[in-house]
Amino acid sequence: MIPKIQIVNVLTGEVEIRDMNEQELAQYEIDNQPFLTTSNT
Amino acid sequence: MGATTIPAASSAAGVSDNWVLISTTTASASTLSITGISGYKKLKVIYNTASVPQIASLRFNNDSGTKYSSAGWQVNNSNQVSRYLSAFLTSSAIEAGPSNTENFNLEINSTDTTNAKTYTVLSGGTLYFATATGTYQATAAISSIQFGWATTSSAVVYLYGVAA
Repeated sequence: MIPKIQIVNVLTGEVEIRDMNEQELAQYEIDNQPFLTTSNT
Repeated sequence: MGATTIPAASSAAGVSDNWVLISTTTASASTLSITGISGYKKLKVIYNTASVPQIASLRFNNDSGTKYSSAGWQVNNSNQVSRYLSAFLTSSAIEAGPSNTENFNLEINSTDTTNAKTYTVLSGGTLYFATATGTYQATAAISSIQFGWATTSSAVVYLYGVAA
């Protein structure tokens, strides 16, 4: 399942929830790398 | 020796920070981007919700450049420093959290200026408490904040600001 991104505009009140695009997904996977190696202490 | 005179409290306008609630958002995704922020010199984000997933990233203006430097430490539930948080010119405002972050508190200063911004983060969960202070080396005013979580979050996120 593709992770979702939620975008909230506080000026207009608009809310968008959608699947991450290719670029967003690539960055998200990089950001999540530490959880593969970091212990829970 | 003369009597000490205690100065009267100033009543000048603008002395108080006067934090205002800008938005309340219930997250329902792995990444939350709060956009459209304008006209504030300080920003604060808090959430306190059980079982919020681990923090994977935190960015301003969706900027993944290596412009964030932060330092701090993490204390575990045995009251021992279990990890030093040290990041110099990295792509996230804080290091990824190793445990669920049930209580999160971020404050950003000088958000409206064209100079560097400073920030502090306090976060905690059942397994740890962490604190860090950092600098974001960018010239654009902050108009958006991005949270990345390890999985889908349902945190209720409050954004506060001090008008510029």
